[in-house]
Amino acid sequence: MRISIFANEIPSTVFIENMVKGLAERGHNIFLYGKCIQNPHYEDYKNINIISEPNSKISKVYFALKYCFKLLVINPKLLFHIYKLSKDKKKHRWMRKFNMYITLYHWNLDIIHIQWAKSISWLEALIKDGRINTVLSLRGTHINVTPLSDPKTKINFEVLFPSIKGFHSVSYAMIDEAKKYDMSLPNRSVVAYPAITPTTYNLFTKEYTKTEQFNIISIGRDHWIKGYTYALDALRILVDEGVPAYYTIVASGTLPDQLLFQIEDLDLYKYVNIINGLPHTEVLKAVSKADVLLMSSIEEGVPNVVLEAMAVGTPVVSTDCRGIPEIIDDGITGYITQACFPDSIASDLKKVYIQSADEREQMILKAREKLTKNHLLEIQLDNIEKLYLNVINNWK
Amino acid sequence: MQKKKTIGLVVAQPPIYTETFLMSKIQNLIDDGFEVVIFSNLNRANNTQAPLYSSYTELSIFKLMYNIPYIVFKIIQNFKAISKYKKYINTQYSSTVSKYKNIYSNLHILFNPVDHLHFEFSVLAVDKEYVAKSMGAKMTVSFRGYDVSISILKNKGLFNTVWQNIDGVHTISNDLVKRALKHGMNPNTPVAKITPAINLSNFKPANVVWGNVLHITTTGRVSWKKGFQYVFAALAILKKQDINFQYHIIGGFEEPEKEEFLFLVQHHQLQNDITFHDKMNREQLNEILDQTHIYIQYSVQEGFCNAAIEAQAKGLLTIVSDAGGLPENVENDKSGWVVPKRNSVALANKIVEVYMMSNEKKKEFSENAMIHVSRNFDIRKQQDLFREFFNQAS
Repeated sequence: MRISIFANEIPSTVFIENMVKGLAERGHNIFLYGKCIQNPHYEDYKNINIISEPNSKISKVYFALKYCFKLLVINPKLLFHIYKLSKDKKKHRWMRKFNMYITLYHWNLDIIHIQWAKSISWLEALIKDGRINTVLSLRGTHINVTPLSDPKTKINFEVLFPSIKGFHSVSYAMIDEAKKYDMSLPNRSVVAYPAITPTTYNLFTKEYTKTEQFNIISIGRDHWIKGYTYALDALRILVDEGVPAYYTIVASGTLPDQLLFQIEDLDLYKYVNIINGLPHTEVLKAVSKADVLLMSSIEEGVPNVVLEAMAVGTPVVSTDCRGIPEIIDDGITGYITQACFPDSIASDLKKVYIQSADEREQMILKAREKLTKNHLLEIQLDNIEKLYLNVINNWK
Repeated sequence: MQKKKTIGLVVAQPPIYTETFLMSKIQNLIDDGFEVVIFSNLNRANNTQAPLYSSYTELSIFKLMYNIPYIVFKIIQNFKAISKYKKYINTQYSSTVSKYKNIYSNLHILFNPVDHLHFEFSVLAVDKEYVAKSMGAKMTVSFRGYDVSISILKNKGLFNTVWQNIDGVHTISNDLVKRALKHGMNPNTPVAKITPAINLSNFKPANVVWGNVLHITTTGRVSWKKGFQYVFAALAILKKQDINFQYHIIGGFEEPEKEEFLFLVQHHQLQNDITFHDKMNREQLNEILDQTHIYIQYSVQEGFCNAAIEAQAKGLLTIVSDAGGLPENVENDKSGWVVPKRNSVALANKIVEVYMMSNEKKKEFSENAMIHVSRNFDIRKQQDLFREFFNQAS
């Protein structure tokens, strides 16, 4: 199949990159268009094709002219069609859309897989046109949060979802949420859970030495959705109860005023370490060294970091947000705690703290067992391929 | 005749009519016999009787050219103070360009010597630490909330030079002084606590009728500082207990945080129980407060909070957190209730406790609240304290 993975930036997040490489390894021709932010290291993949989105005004014009001439020779009718589709009242939008569309159309694709729901407004005309099959991933905040405060996004979803040929959802709960924009959406959806690579799964070692310090770790950008406020409140509760807790947050960007103030206000300097970003391999190392991974988000789809912690043998305490009950059986493969309630978070973290070595080992084994059923990369790719075939065969 | 004392007030921008606190403060100082001048970084319309001097950095090239003879004249006239100032900041700036830039940005103050230079926020004194000293004036700052609570954390040592040069501090709460001391303020610095205050004649007791629906209100912009995330969680607990309530939030959103709070409302399934109102005029606000059974101010960061004073002035049953100056604002278990901050369960329990109280007890608290405000937060008392502050410091 000729598939475009449309994710705005190249390379994209770890889980999208795993999917790109996985599909390429299965022999599909992958086409990527977006802003190249760093070297994606696709040297070993001959069937991954990249076109970098032009940045400056001059390069945009040059890019457009180059492809115009190319298409003028091969398919002038298509060129005129693209010109009509990409028309926009705002000049800068028109230029960006034209370059985007001309690239995507000239690739002669079977599927465009849009990774982020918020970006569908850019592809509005292409989706409605229907010449190329479009698939959209339903992920976390883009579906659950953004439409609440951004009426334009909500309208876009209502207008465009019915024209999208297939949906990849990260959980059944997400399909439930998204169907309010298009009632028939569940019939065109396939759940492909986020997954971990064999390399991550094999990082697991049985060795575990409990130290005097109870090391809690959270991974994720500094954003309110991550619920760090509640996590820090929970930390204060643990410290007050005499638990020798130490909390590491691997985030990125500047620490927001809210957290900065909270750490000072609750006198938590001694108990918190905030790390401004780490490479993925380092993140995995840090997670495997911690006593527990805390996923304190108020809302998430199915966060990869939870799967990764389960894979490397670190017990997880996660809030009860949408997709989590589909991965964690409370008390068996991890603990599910109540989002927005620090007492509940602290009490579940304490459960891990007082776990015996046997109980911990059992939880880790069960968690890894669960991963092998639904969350290995091969299973995810099978489901994604199934979705693409369904779309191409028009869900027969 | 004795020469009038001149007070220079450094503000971020000239006060507008709705900034009643600053407008009346200026007017009262003038009425008390002080000569008041306003120094502002921004050049906007001046609605006060005090002359306004804004920074020359605001001037366009054309205006600057036109003003050059005047600036040269004033430099010559105030040469002593300016050269003193240059000497003071020599060690502060390593580059000559930034040193002269700083002098230029402070010329509007150096050209107009005063006896007493007061900064309405501590952060306004940064990069102006030696201006008062150069012209032989006293220097004081006001502690309000954000600057001492948050700015100081973002930039450690931000106020070090300010602390070294101030002759006195006006604070709206003891909490802010505690924070400043923690971050290096000299413990011997004279401090005057003058809390916000209200004009009592504007606040008539609310005539609340208790019915089947519990009406709860908070005024203030929806932001993390006001602790709404904890209030919503507390309300979710009330809802589980089948308490029928309506929560009114008046003040509009801090735009970047709108998404978060709208989502939290949905997360706790409170869509039918919470109403967000934009900013209101006094009349509209009173209409809602008159129907309010419980007023909540469950902030995580707060200077003092005028809204909580106003709620008590109307005799509302007021629950606040113990953040910042709030415990100094509400007398716990007398004029209202102070609940530990960041604790939704404790807040929910307190709301239920107040809701279930006998009518007699509710009346007692309501009356206590009004007495508490009239005794402690009367604007006339505040005016006397400010007069004393400027007289002592000058």
